[in-house]
Amino acid sequence: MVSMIRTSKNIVKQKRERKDKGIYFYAVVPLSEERNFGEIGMNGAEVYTILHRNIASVVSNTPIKEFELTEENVMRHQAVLRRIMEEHTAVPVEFGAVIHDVKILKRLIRRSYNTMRECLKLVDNRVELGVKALLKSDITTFDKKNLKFSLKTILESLKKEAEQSISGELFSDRLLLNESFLVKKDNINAFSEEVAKIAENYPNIRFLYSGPWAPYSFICIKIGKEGLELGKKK
Amino acid sequence: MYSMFFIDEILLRSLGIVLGPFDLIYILEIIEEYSRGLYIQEQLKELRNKIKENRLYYELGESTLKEYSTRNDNLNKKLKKFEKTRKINFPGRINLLG
Repeated sequence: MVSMIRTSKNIVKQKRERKDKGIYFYAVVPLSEERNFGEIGMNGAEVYTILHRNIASVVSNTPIKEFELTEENVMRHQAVLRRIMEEHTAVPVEFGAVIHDVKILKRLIRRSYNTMRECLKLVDNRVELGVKALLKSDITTFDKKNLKFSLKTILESLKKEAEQSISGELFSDRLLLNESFLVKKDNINAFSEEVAKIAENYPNIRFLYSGPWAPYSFICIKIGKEGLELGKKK
Repeated sequence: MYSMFFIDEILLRSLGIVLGPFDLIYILEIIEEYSRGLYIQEQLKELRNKIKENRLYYELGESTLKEYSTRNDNLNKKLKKFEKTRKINFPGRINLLG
């Protein structure tokens, strides 16, 4: 009887230990040596790297759980990516990717090594910049045709300074443009100047310029049924 | 002597007998479940958009931190409620034969 209780206690203990052994996955970076980014991860956990040849997965330990898509959690995830991007090119992982075991992560990375290398090349030395344009709140009437032409001109001039662009959802009635641009780091200043120039030329439109971000909209790792999948942000 | 008949959709289907009205009810139920699913999806999308819109106005300085936080909390509560509904919204009946 006593041994049965001990066994069941052990099982509970093992289950608890297994639950605490999750890995929160932030990004893949080109790195051949181990690196510690400090206690900046989800729930204040230490962010470190797990190496495979010349790429590293940036992770932190976490209990196995579903991370809620709250502002606080998203900001924390973003902050880690920003910190990583200060030093490295990063292929970001979508928010909330928790892997059950280090071994599983290593296996996944080993399997998708070549694809990861290709992706790192694609975003090497590049960042994502976001531009949103919306009608000023006091403007109620406007010439639709004229506005359409203006937006086309704005987009064309911004695209000149970027390598790629992708349109996001227009989630508000006032939102006219929601665009993400993949820009070379050397070209950030030129792009910013262009945004400033445009904002000056269109006084009826408000611009929200953000970044630099990890290139989420252009490449993003997801944990799918078949292992690591690459996709774009929806 | 008397006989008892159990007229049931499942029993009839297992015997290869299909009655039109029963099938119609079944189809209507499927349509209803499908449209309920779509409605919840739409509501979720709308709520997520409102959350983004709220954040956008705050970032532009068009709403105060207090206004933003109150609205954000309300919207998130609603979102959680809808997500919970979606999770438990499984069909009440499982069709084994048809």
